[in-house]
Amino acid sequence: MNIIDRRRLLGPPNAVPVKFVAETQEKDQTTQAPKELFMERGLVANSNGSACLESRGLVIQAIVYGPRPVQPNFTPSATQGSELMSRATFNVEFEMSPLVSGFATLDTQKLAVCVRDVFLASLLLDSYPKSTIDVHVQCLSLPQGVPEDEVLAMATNCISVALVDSGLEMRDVPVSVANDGVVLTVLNYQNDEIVGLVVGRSVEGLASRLEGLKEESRGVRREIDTFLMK
Amino acid sequence: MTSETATAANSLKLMPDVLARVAPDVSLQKHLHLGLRPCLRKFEEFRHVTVDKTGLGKYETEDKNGNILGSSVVKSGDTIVLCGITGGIVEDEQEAIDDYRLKLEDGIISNEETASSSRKNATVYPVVQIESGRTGPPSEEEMILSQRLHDTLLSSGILNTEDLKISLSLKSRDENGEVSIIGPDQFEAKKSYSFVLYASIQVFSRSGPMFDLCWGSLVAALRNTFLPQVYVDEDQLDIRMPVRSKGGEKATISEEYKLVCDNAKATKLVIDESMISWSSTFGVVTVHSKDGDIDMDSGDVANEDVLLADLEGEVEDTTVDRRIHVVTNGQTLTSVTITGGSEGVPIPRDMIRKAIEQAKRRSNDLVQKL
Repeated sequence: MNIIDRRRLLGPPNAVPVKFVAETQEKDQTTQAPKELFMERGLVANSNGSACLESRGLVIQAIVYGPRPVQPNFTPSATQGSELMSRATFNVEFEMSPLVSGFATLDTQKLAVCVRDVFLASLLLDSYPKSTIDVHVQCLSLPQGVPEDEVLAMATNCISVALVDSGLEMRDVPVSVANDGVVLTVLNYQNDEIVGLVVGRSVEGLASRLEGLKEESRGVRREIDTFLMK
Repeated sequence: MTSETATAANSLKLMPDVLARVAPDVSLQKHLHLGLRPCLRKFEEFRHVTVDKTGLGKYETEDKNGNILGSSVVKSGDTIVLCGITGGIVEDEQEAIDDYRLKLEDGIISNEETASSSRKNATVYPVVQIESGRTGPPSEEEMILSQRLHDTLLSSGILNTEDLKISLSLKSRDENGEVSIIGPDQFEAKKSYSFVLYASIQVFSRSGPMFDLCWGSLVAALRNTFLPQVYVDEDQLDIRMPVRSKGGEKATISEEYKLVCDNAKATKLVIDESMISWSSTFGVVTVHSKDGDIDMDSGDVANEDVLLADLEGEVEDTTVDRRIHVVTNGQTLTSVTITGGSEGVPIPRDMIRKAIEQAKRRSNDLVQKL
């Protein structure tokens, strides 16, 4: 079947994208550079909240829309049960910016599911009945060699800042850190609440590493807190 | 009776932002009576625009793994427009043949329009995305913007088809495995190829009509665009690929070159600097003299048309239908679009003249920034 996208101008159909000789850069610069975090919030005016985080060339932007009324309407029907009416639905949309396309393909579906789970446990969705909260996450810049877990941790932190910017009610601000295949998201230090743990592959001594990650996350949390208090 | 009207008047007391949402036309008139616009600018005052390089381009950064050939970021007020240029390669003879549009019925699209290989001016294929919290297919506005950018660039003459032609080099390996490069002056390829440029434009914090800023970002990105040096990889030269046309009448064998681009060697995209232009949008609004609840001092001022430069905000976006778009390089006009005028509410001729004059002045001011 011949499917033509008539909605976008895609140019001649037999054009092939330019191909470059793959260059092997084995400069392991990602681990050497200090972990500086640059934060900005409220950049997108026509949203309810937004944030942009940058660290070592990795730029992630999160935009929060909501609470908005559920589409198409909230008349109770067989498909829309009481569950949907009593609390907000929360959606995360994760995409790569068209400026990043080319070499790196992250599993954005998986990333979206992971961050969604974290915020389902953190947001007070019961406060927003009959509504929906949508978060659009976009990776604006992705240097070579940045592992998926680091993107996941950054995205989580970015959404946290964006949600604070939007003023939506949360139990606390989840903060995420990644290290060598393990991503830990801590919601609250007093009650030791962990809302997310992603282990990419089998790692040794997970329990002891978690302690280290938790300490690391305290530092990130401090940074985010200082930024938000400003 | 009097008390009833008094309560009715009381209940209609609305905050400015609520009034702007509920009755944008009333809000606009109230502002115009004060000699201001809802965005608090004067009638013919433009917004400040900054144009920057993003540094995302492949030939501008250390990171050699991207495929962005040129980029720009344009900011005005809260609005941010990001533009990235990527490239493709197309075989010259095949471009027109394989174009699906030629397979459509005659009359829908004329052949002249599609025979791009024969025309002098080149263009890019833009895809505009306006961040507005929705997903799915592009909105009407995005589609119209993309098409207008494509058409305006084509008619502007900024890009020339000849400048997009690729001069191929041959990457050859001798018996020792040493790579040598035979330049385009010594190597003659059987087929000719051209670059196709794509632009992806992202708009954040949209406020008002977006064409001006999108156009600015597109032109600024093209000015920073580099076209890579292209090699034919000798190792891959033998691959042959059968190509059959749809009806099966002609079965041709086409030789496919493997074309590889250089990571470091690139030439700047040639653009006609004299044709670089800026776009300005104007709205024409009638200021009503008697507005019922507004007590004008003189009382009998005639309805007057005013020109609003650089429309901004929801109020102006929804209520101003009569618009004049002018794209100019300061001297000559690239494109003039006038929309919304009708028999009852015409766009006065002096407004058009004034708009063109203003646009030229604006363009002279801004083209240096691009």
